[in-house]
Amino acid sequence: MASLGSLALPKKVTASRGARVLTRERFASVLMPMITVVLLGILHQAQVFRDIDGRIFDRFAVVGSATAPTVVVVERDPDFAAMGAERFATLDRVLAGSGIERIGYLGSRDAPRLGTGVPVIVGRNADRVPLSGRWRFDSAAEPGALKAASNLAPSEYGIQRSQYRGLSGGEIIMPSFEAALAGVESSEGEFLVRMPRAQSIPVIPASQLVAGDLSGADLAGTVALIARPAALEPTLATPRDPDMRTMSEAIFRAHAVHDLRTGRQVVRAAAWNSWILLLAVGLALAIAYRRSDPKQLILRVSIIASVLIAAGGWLALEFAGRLLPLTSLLLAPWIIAIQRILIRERRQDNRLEQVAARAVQNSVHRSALREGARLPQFVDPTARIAGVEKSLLIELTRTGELQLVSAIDAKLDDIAMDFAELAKELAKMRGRQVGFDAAALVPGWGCEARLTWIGGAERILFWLYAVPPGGRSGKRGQLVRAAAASFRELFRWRGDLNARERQEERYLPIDEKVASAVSLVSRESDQVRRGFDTIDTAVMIFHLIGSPLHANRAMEELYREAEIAVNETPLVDAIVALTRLDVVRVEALLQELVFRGGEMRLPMRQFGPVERILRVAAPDSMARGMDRVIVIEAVDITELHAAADLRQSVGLFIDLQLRNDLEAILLAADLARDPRVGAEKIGPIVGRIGEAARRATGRLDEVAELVRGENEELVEACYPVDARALVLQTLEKTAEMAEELEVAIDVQMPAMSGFTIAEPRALGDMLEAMLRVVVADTPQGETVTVRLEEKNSETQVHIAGGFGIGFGRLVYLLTKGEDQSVGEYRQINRGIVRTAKWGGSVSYWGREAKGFGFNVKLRRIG
Amino acid sequence: MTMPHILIVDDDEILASLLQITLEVEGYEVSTAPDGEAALARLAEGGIDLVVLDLVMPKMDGVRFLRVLNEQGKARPPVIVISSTAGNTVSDEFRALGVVAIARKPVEPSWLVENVAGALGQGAANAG
Repeated sequence: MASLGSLALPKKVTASRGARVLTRERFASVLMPMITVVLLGILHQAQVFRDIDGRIFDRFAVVGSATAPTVVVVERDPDFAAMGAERFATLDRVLAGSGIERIGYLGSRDAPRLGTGVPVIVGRNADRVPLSGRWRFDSAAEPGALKAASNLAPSEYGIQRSQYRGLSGGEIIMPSFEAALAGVESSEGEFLVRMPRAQSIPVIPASQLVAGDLSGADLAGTVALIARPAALEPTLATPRDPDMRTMSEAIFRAHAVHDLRTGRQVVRAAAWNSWILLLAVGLALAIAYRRSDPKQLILRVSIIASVLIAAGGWLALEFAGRLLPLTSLLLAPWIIAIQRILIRERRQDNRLEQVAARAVQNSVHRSALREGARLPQFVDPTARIAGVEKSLLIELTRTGELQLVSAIDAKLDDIAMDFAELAKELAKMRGRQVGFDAAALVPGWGCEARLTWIGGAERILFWLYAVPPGGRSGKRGQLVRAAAASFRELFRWRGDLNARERQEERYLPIDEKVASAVSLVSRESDQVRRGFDTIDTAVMIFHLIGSPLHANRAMEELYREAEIAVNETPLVDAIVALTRLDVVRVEALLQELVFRGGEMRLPMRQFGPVERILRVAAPDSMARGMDRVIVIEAVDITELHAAADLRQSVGLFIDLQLRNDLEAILLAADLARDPRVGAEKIGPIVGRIGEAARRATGRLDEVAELVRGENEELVEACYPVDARALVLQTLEKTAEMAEELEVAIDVQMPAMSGFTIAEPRALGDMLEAMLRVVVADTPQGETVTVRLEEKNSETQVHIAGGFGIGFGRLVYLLTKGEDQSVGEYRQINRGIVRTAKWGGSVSYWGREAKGFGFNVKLRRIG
Repeated sequence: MTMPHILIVDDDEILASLLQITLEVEGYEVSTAPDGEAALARLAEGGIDLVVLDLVMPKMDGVRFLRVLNEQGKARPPVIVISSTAGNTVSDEFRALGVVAIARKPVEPSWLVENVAGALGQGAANAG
């Protein structure tokens, strides 16, 4: 089979076209995802997703464990304000004494700074230099302190989640207040502030510090952020509570300082990082979808990709302090999946449409569907076949007019209704699947009439017909209704199949068209199959690679007799089973056939009484591209053999019989010339010549009548046959069985026999079946008798033996009928019927323990 | 002197009667039998010097007749076979059964007369 399979390669043209399509699809499968991620990258860079990314950050920003505070907020409480001018110097001294690393004043402290050895940062608002990206301080310098920009980064949609690390001051970078207080290097840009809910920032009233009430507090290693009471008012909405302004500016700043000091600040991923990540995700998804159906993978791939991206985003945030372009990254797998599905759907629709169109083209290229205009032409012949005597096929035009398409013994004027009114009624009937009583519409017809819509989308047709005799429920009436339904169906299919060609229905789903195509092809296929089944000749179609496609009923029966499975047996095995050829020979023959096309005929094994040859046909090489089938056909040659037998038997009979007659004529003629023969004997001798001649003519007439008389089919014909030869053949066929069962056969028959009237195959089959059932019933070691006797005008074949079958049982077995009898008894039953046609008879007898037997009496001739 | 008596065995009544006349014209006494069984019965009566035998006959065919005749173990007259199914040469099997001449129908009357005379002469010589 491998050799056959290799022959089924598509044509070169098809292959290269297929490769181009494949390459295009593969290229598109990579390109489209990349285009998608590039578009997402552009949107990300345009900060379309900034807020969403920020909100994703918010979810991460408030979770996590707390660390030891590295910053304390010192509130310049009213008591502190009332302490006098020295209170700042005292505060600085107390803080310096407690091991504070840096002191940051949010806003002016309104007092000269004393040297305590601890760096003091004063946060002052910087202003943007107009028409530039630079910043500057308008306020005076802070003697003894570092002035840093205390500007808050703008909130994002009301949520304060980031802060400056430094501001561009032209050639230098102005440190932000938080960066300066944290003691980290300042750089231009913002960072995102984490504020885990568990993280606490201590707030200490400055008055208590100054008063020494908190002398025991461990402030070593921290930095102090000193703020006015106003800065401790809740004024900011932050990731902790995005919907409420519950956090104070000082606490927010303290979190920022804490993040900077602990290195847990987060920055948004750089643009180039985002691009690389997006392209990598796009590429990974393109590979994932490259050879698979997105419909099946969309959920799996998209969910896995989303989880991986979320996990990656968390890892980047947690360990690298980077906020990835999560929105773009998370959107990518879903957009690409949907896009792939849409592309797939589109391609699928196109393919379905093409396949449907091709299937329909193949199915209907000879049918009425090919040309819609011809469809109505089928109505009249169908109506006549169904016995409709009057018929009007009417079309309702788009302009609302009635037009006669065709008619049988009727005219439009028969309609007793205003046409405009009728047109309105017909318009309402459009699409109705049932007909209406229309006798009142055509009273002149004087019979039952029906009106039914049979049109499709293209033509609005109505059929008005006289119900055939027998009424609607009669056989003809039913036939007409079935015909009307068939027309509706055909028109609907055609309408659906052409739907996309009509502008108004171009965007309808393809389902209807495909469904119609499938229905049509299926129906056509079913009809072809049914037609196929009615063929007497056993036929089976195989694919060129040898797999079975379809077998008709006759072939299925043949397969059953050959004990092979119809749907599972490859061509080679089937041919081997049906013929006596071996696999090697069959493969060689098929290879030759498939390469060159044409047909070959193989001798078949005999199944049942029918003799066949197996015709195997393949399309020639030119047609093989389209018609990739091999057909096997079991051709019945019984008739051919019967004809040959008949010719031989009749020839032999005539030869032998005429020799007798000619001998008589020769002798008589010689005697008539002989002078020794007295005149009184001449008359009778001449009379004998006449008798011999008449007898010869009579025999010829008799044989001619037998051969072509009542039996038109050769296999049914009977003619003079050698009964002895048939009995000998029967004995030969059953010898093995008798030997196996150890049953002896006593044969009594003449050494030569004359002519008996029969059909040799049918007689041989019947005698064989009789001998088999008798032998099968005979006990081991006993004898069956077969006797052939020839009498003057009768030949008798007597077969007897066996243990015995009751006569009633024997009658039952033999008279159940053709369909019910089984095996040999069915064969005998058939033979009995045939014997009667030859002018013979079959009798049988039986008794339990006494044996049973058959006696066949046949006409003898010559 | 009695003339030799010939028995014609043939189921074809017309042919048998013409054979009878042909041989009677030659001066022989001739009897006929329609089948093997009747021929055996006639032979049992005795006085038959030659048998002219057809092969295909009902009831008892010519070959079976010859076998039965030989199985009887008595002196048997020579046999000339004239049959539509026969060949033109005497096979060993036929010779063993006492067939002295054989011909396929139709035969020339002269051949028949000649062979009958020959067979009778041979039979007389064998008897002498």
